[in-house]
Amino acid sequence: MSIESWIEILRISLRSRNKTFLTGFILMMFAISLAIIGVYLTPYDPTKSYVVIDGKRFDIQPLLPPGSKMIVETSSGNITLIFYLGTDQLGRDVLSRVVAGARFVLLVAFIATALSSLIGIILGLISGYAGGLTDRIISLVMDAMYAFPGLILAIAVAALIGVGIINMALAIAVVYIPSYFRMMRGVVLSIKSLSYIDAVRLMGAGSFRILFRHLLPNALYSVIAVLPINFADAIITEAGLSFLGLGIPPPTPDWGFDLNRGQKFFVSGYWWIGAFPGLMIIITVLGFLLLGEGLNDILNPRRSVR
Amino acid sequence: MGEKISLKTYILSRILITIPMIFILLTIVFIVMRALPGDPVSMLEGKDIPEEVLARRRAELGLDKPLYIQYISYISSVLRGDLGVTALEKVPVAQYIAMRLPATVELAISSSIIAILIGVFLGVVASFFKQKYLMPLARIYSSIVFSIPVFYLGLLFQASLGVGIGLFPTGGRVSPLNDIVLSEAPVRTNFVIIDSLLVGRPDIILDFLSHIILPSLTLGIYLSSIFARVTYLSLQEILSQEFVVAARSRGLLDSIIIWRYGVRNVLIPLTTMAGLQIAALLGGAVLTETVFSWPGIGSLVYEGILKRDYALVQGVVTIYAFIVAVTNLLVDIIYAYVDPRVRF
Repeated sequence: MSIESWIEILRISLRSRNKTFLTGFILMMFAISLAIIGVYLTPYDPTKSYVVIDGKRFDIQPLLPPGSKMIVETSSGNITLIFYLGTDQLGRDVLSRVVAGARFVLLVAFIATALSSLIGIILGLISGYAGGLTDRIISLVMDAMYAFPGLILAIAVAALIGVGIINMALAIAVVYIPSYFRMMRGVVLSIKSLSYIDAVRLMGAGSFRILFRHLLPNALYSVIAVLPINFADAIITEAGLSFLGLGIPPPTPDWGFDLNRGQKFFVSGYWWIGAFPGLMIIITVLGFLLLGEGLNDILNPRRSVR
Repeated sequence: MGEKISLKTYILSRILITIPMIFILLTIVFIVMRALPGDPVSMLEGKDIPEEVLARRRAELGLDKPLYIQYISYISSVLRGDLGVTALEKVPVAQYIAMRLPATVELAISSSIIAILIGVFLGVVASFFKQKYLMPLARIYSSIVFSIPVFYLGLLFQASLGVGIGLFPTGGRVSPLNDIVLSEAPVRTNFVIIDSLLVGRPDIILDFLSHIILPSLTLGIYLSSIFARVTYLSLQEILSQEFVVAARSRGLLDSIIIWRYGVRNVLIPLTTMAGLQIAALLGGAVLTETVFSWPGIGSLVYEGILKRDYALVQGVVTIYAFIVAVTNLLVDIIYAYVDPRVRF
């Protein structure tokens, strides 16, 4: 599938004035722009509980409420530091941490979604096309994986292969392979028997050509609407894993882990410590979810639920 | 008479299918826990531990042997009910799990009840107001519930209803004092309701209920949107059938139609869905139990990770495989029982 066809889908979708899609699109763009440019706009280092001005180090007070100001005396006069979203239990700026967290979360979810869709789609293609025993065995394994609680599967993988961006993405990817597999296999089974595939085969095309030139492109359109929803789910799983301490090692900003560390403070009145990372997870997930649901309404109008 | 035999045959065939299912699940657990790249022992038990200690631990766990031997010994010991011993206290993992499983069962039951109540209510409301503005509400609800991480929902409940207005306790299963009372039970089932009756202190049940309410609300809301969706979709399907049109043309009120023809028929898909949700429930329970320090097997996984205890994590994950397989079996059987059509 070429870049042009992606742009075409985006153009059609934006023009469709589907409210679900547009809301999702705006929320998604908000999260993505935070991840890309946000880190350059935030005032403080998200991992440090102090600021350095003119070579002098000033410790930031922990647990300052949102909008707090701190005046520091430097050689060139007094400087006022403002903490728009307050500071956390270690004295780090919540705004800077929340913004910087977007980059990591989106990166992990992106790698995970890319990996799981790639593996799932290829397995689904092979299984659906080959049929017989191959299909039976792959399907059985995939069904078992599908039945297994996804988060627990991810926990087991993450606990073993260790922390880090790639490892975490791998652990999450494992969870979603079966969903792509099932969808792809279903689509291949329904297309395989159509007469144009027979025509191609009669013209002498080999299995490889049929699979990747004729079956794959036609099946991809069904996958597109699922990608954003899966992406949203991957973010939720990422947050869950890092809440359990299986994310990236501290002090890298990470919404889930910040919620874990701030739990005691958050529930006992220091609401800003948890409110903002949590809100960011919700906004980001909601963005991709609505985008996917809107896309589904636009691309597959007959299948839409309502 | 003929039908009875066919139900038996059906159940028997389902049980037979569950056996390979358990094997595949155990194989997946094995692949994840053993065959993936990365050394589980040094990963879980720390990098700064001397190599000879790690080697000893590896030998204890049998991780120094070739993979196929590990596979055979894993499967055979699991089938014997042996899940190994914990790293620190050398207590059998199976014993740990048996002690903690009842708490997860309690949470699973209470949160499923809440999920079904909320789900059916929303689904019925959404179908009832189909033509009006309230209709998209169910969709908005399910989108928002999907987007809130379950642990965050739990934290919000803790902050508001728990610590905030002090209505409910925020952690544990019973108050510490009552826990001591329960531990003196002659036979301990670890189900609080049964244990408190055994020690003759039914008042502990009230304490237990106040503890379980926030975790079950959290997990219940997390699971409710799927039930709302199922209720709504099945109601739509049923309400478009001819007998409903006939009832409506006889002048029956919409509310009566929904109640009398709709909700009853929705019960079958709901039961199935409740069983199929076991994976989501168990996954959500890990996070919910962790947030509320609920002493089930979900928080045991978390403790296993924190304590870097390989045998413990592997043991609990293995038990999850069994729970999933058995639940799927039970759903199939219940489904066949309530809806004879699936057997043919």
